[in-house]
Amino acid sequence: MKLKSFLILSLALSLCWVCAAQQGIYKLRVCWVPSAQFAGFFMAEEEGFYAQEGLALEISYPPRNEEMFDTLMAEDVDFVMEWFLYALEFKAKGNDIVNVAQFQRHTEELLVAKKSSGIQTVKDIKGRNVGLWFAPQLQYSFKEFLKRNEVDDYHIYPILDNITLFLNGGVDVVSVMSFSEYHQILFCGYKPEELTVFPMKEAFPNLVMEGIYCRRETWENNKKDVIALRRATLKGWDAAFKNPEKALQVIKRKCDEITSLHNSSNNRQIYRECSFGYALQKEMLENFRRMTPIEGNDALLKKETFQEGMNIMGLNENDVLFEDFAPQDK
Amino acid sequence: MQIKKSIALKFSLWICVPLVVILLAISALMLYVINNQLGRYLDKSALGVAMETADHLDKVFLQTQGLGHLIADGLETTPRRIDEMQTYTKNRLTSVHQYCKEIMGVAVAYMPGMQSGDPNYNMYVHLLEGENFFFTEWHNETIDYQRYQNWFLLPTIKNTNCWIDPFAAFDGKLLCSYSVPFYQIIDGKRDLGGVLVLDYEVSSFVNYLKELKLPIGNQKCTTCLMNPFGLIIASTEPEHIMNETFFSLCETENGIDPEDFEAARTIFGRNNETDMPSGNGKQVFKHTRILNGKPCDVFYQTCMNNWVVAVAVPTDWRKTTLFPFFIKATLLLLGIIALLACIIFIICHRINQPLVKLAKAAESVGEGNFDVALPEYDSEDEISQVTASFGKMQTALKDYINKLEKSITMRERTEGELNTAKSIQKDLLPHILPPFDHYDNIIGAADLIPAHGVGGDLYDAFPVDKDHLAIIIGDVSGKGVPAALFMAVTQTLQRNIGMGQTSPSVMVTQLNQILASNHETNLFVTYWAGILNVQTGELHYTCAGHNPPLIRHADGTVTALRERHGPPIGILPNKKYIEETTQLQPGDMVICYTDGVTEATNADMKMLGEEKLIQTISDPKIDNPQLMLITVRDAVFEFTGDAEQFDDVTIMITQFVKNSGQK
Repeated sequence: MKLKSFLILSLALSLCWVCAAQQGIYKLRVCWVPSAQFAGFFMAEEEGFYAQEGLALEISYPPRNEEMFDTLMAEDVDFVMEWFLYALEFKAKGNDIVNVAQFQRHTEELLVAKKSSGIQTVKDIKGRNVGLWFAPQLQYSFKEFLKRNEVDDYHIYPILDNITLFLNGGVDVVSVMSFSEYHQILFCGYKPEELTVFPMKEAFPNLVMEGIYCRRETWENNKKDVIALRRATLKGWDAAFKNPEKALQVIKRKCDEITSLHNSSNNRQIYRECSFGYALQKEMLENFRRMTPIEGNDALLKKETFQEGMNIMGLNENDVLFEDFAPQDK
Repeated sequence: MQIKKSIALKFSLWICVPLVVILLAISALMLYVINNQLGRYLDKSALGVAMETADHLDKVFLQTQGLGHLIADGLETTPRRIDEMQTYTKNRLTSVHQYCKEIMGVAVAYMPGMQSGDPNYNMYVHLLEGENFFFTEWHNETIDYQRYQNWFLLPTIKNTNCWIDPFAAFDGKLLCSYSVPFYQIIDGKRDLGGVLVLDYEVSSFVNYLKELKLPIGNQKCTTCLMNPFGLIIASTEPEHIMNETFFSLCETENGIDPEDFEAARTIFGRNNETDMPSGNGKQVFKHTRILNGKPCDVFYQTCMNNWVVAVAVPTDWRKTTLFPFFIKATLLLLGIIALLACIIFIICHRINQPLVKLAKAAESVGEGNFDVALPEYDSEDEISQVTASFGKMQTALKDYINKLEKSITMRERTEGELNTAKSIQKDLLPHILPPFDHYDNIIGAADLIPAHGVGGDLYDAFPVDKDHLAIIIGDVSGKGVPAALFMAVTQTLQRNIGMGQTSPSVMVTQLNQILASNHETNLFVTYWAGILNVQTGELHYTCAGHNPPLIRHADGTVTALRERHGPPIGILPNKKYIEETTQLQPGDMVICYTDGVTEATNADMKMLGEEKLIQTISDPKIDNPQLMLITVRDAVFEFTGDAEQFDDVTIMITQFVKNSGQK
């Protein structure tokens, strides 16, 4: 009898332990296919940092044309990685989302032109064809940049996720990420000195790009887990920077998994960046090392960043409240 | 036998060393020639592969362009309604596919509002998968996604047909397209109606890539097709397809090699005004990953749509493959030559064995063992002949040695007899000159040095009576024993005839009569006889063909007694000889000699001559016959040196010291 009681008690305790260990199972939708842009998440998962915090994070990637905030609000996922300016706009429209993690400290958006096209200064963009990412939220900073430089008569061509139009002379200026498409341009045989580059970082020093957003109730009900997730991811970034080769191997594995899924699925996508090669991913990881400080980084959105975004978006201070948008709990 | 001196080893070396030298020279020459020729051939082949591949692709591109424009023209004129357009495209795809199997889809994308049947009509795609068609159409898209695609934007922005970089189709396939803008006339106005797109599956381009096979070794070359910006669209290296650009391949763990990057820029025309690749050529890459980090030569040809076909060949292929191949081949041949040397050595060694045995037999023969058995040899080759010849030589040598032994014995006996004859002949000559001690006013000296064991010269001095001394010198014709015997006869006869005879002419006449009458040997004697009155110095003399004696006076002057009174004795039996008289002065020396003195010959075949003799005896310091004898003899042999003495040398000197009649 004593033995039976002991076994039942042991089983109950084990189940409690398992439940406790798996109490935080969360879904994160990142904004793009597997790449070095998400190395912190991959490495935190790989090194078991999430598990150490008692969390399990399922990372998924967006299908084409998905509105990720819609997916978030539909409670299909717990977290999304979305564009900061777009999040402000979404919030201003009354959607109760919060920024719970902001690992990168500035934007890496660039406008790039070939010097051979005659564009040396931003004023030269007047009357030119400008290729901007087709999603409107990805155009805000560039449009604001051109507006502040009094360049208003230009033609915008919406572009997808590549630089083909720019290389073939369809557009004179193109929006790129310094860690991604800019290197693709260089890998097409151009030298940096042959390109005119307008970094948004210089125009908007406090502007950031993607952050991690969730619904308010997710934040309110799971603060401890969210903070743990932020902490574990930051450790993941640290691990990625300390062991970039391993991080690149993990990214490669993730790419292969997605490619395999893609090939065997009806809902196919092509992950070109994912498969664009070792050299590009390595460059990208190095860029993220500069963008993502480890020491002193609390991964919280800063007030000045919030203010910069509000200005760019032309929002009033009452449209979105900082504390409401980015709770500063550490 | 020492191996290092053996004929087998020498023969092996004589054959194999030149063979090795020739082989190495040929190998080096072949390596040089093949290396150069192969380099040129490979360059041509690689460029040829690039050009051939580009040529095939150009045909496809040209065909595609033609078909694209044809269908686009049809869209502009014929189909107006959606169903007509769909039927038209489906039919065209069917016929186009027959011409060009690679074209697997046709898409028609309208500019907003340009489909007359449905202003919201966006796009129609007709694809072939195997033998089956399937199609997709878009209406009223909230996000006009298809119109953001490059295949739509680029031709509409640039208002021209374009080849579009590979992109992901809605079903996930990697497609590469040729886009042609088409126009429609609506209300009499010609506006851009949309874009016609012909689709290829990127994977189909791999079939066009021709591979370059290297003639030796297992190193691989890579052929790839790239868009004008270096993106690898098709490659024999599947890992590179859509994963790398030609420029990203230049990045290694050590970064990008600037020279490689510049070479790649040259291929893709980054330094050209058009910023597009053109033409063909070759560029060298040192650190690129094109061939897994190996240095490579890249041969490229630009296609008509500015795509580039490149063939990468390992730069060090010849060094890493050809050289080791040649070294292996050379080592193999050297091994064969070494084996050949061993075989030659063994064969020669076997062939030489009878010779070695023969040599041992020869050594025994050389040591005097003439009865040693020669090795038996069955064959009938040269060695057999040598053995047979050696056997004959052995027999001949044995006979010769026997004969030689007999000959030596006989010669030793003859030499003994000659020595005896020599002693006898010497005994015939006077030992003491002058012969009688009471001739105190006459002193003399004489010597006969025969050229051979015995000689034909003679001299004599004997008292005729108490006041007269006979002085005689002669030279028998011929040499050797006959001459010596004739000399002995003459010497004996002259003493018998001359005893008491004070007239030299009478003595010579009688001696001639005897010798000329009683011998048939044809020998004769040149003869000079003088009768000297030892008291007064009066000298009567008769010369029968002999060298004229010389009178050396005390003051060194010389007078020759040149008168000849007849031929040599022994020739004419009844010849009467006459005589001359001369008066010697105290101190005068009568120097008689034979032709062995004046005709003494040196190595240069020059003779001493009478003049030299006179010059020799003219020295007044020579004041006695003994000194004169030594002086003349030394002069003769100093003159002849090492030359052989051909004739007997005889000198006799008589000095009239004082005139007793003046006492």
